[in-house]
Amino acid sequence: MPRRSRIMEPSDPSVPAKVELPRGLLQASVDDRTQYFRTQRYKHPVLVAARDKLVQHILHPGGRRMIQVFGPTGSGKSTLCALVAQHLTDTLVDIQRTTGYSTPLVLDALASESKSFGWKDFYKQWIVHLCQLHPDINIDIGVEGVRRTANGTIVINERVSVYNLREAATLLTRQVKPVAILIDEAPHIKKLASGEHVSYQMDVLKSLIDRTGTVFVLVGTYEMLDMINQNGQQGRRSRDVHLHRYTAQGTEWDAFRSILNTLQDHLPVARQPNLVRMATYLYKGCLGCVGILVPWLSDTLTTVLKAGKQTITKKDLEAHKLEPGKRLQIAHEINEGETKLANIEEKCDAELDMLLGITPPNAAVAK
Amino acid sequence: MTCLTNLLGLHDAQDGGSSMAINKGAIMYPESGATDKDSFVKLIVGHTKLMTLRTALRDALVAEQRPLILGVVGPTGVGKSLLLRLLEQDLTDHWLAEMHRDPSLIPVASICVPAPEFGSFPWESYYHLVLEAHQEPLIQAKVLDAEREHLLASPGESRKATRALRGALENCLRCRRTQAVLIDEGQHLSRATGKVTLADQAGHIVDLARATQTTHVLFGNHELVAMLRLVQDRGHNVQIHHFAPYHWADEQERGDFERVVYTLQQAMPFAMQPDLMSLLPYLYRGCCGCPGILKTWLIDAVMQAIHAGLPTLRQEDLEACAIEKSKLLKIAEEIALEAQILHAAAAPSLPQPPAAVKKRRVAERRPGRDKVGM
Repeated sequence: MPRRSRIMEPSDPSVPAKVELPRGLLQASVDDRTQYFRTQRYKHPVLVAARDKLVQHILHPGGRRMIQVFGPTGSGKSTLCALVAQHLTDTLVDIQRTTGYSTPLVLDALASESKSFGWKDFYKQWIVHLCQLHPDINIDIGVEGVRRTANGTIVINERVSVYNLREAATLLTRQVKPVAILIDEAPHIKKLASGEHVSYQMDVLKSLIDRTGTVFVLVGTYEMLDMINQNGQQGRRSRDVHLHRYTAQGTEWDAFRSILNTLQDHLPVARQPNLVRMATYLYKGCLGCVGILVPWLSDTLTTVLKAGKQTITKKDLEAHKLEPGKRLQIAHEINEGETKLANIEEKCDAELDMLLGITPPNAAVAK
Repeated sequence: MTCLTNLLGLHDAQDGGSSMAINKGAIMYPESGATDKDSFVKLIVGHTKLMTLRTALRDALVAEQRPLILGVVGPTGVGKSLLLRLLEQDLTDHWLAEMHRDPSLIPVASICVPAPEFGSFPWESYYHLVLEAHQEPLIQAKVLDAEREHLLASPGESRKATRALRGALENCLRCRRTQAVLIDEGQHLSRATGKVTLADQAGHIVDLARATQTTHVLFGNHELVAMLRLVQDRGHNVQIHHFAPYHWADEQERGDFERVVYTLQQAMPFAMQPDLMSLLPYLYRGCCGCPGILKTWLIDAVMQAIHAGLPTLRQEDLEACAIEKSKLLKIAEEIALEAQILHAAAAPSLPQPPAAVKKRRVAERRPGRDKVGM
């Protein structure tokens, strides 16, 4: 067959480029097709903005090395973690040359079985991940009970104390200098034994940040709001990044529709459905959270493909919609978080002036 | 240089003449108009409260009758850690001649205690840190005794090891004739939950200080006060100093704050000096009167402006780097709380904070300050 040359039409920058599905995808197996749709990283505006902000903060932390990222469930927090880690790793050649930092470390604040947050497990995970990232790390740092076996796996003695584990983690971290440590599901840290304060847990993080000299990024749902302003020391050392959902107004609504447009382009079905026309329906189903929308569509896609259908209809979507009870729960959480956030900033001005003993703001004060 | 110093009034000229550390470059002023960003970052402003406390603490620590415990209480970002560093320098300078005579002498050790993960503060981590701090300066020159080395490798393994570690610590402080241990984040020592009470923690530190004849200088926030008071109530020699931020309402302190801003403004690495003086209330509010917070904020903003290639600092840059209002509110609350706590337990008739810092008048001489036979 003669090879035809492809002619590109001049594209209008204001219209988003039409996505082309990989060749042969429509003929691929159901699993491959859903896999394709599910694993695409959809870079929507809020996510990209948050990523840029976060990367900026990580590379130029100034005096504030604790970054707190919060948003509703399904707003793309884990995706954000992955994106930021990816971005930092990609640009690392530059970073490394100028600063000597190495790849970021992504950790999970594991929910613990016991009454309070398991720092021991956290430190172990930290040490193991760090050693995996840097196989050539010198583990002989004078902490007993942490050693490497002949085949390179890290063995940590059960009886090593928290204190020693912390020491090992900080020393190893200082050795390789990861550009940032991202902690997903950070609200688990505020899980407490009786008689302790959340503020104390934040002090531990503060100590870790001071000792390691690394930027810590804490990521979590609006539960984070209970731990972001625990004490002044934390406040001075931290920054907030809000990863919000899309609201149904103005530019955000347009952005939401344009996400739908992108998503429908990526759907590997024979006949493309018009998701944009169902925008209101879909919005209600996902509450403006892209992280709820994508799994919903991909579940629907699996069923549709298995049934051998040509396209996705509203009926198919309805079958996989989140139950009303769950949606209501999420909506409540979102509402609560957003209200709390608004209140925090709102009441500040007058109270701050009162506490600091400043007379009513004069002309020199901005805004 | 002296002229500039006088002009700024950050400390009086005589003080600068007598204290070695000041001449040694603890405080740097821009040599000329052109300063690069590094020297701005490293700039230390010797503001009034910092310098007053520095002298007061130094005097207390080199006196015949040293207090057992010295507490420096101040909010975050007021300059406690900086004060600790300066004080360490001063004390080393003071005992320098003696250190030359007796190489085993380590007059001062400084540590920063980490927050405990759960429960009460574990003392073995404190022992470990102090021992570490002692070995650092001479680690190559000294043969470690095998037993202690073994202990260092495994702190907190068992109660026996902890007790042995404490023995090692006491021995070390005694043999090194350590005069003062400077402890940053001292409020972490006062953490007590469960069976351990605050009185236990307070008792422990007093025991240590008494057994070793070493003054423990605790730097910390308001959480520290309760423990200090407890020690004081038992009749031990405790001095509590309040390192308060600058108060806007107090005209003199406002002037001091203004001079800090002015010094920083002059040191900024820009072709065109920004006009920060017109933004004073805004700057004050953005740092709650704490020079440390102000400094970090300005560094952030300056770096951003340099990054963007701007000829001077704009208010937008300051705005972008400012600490969120909610966090400032928390800091302001803690400042108020701290003042309240410190006022409350002092004699209620005193209008001034109970800080032991005596304010001298400018140019008034302090007896016993001059060095003889240099």
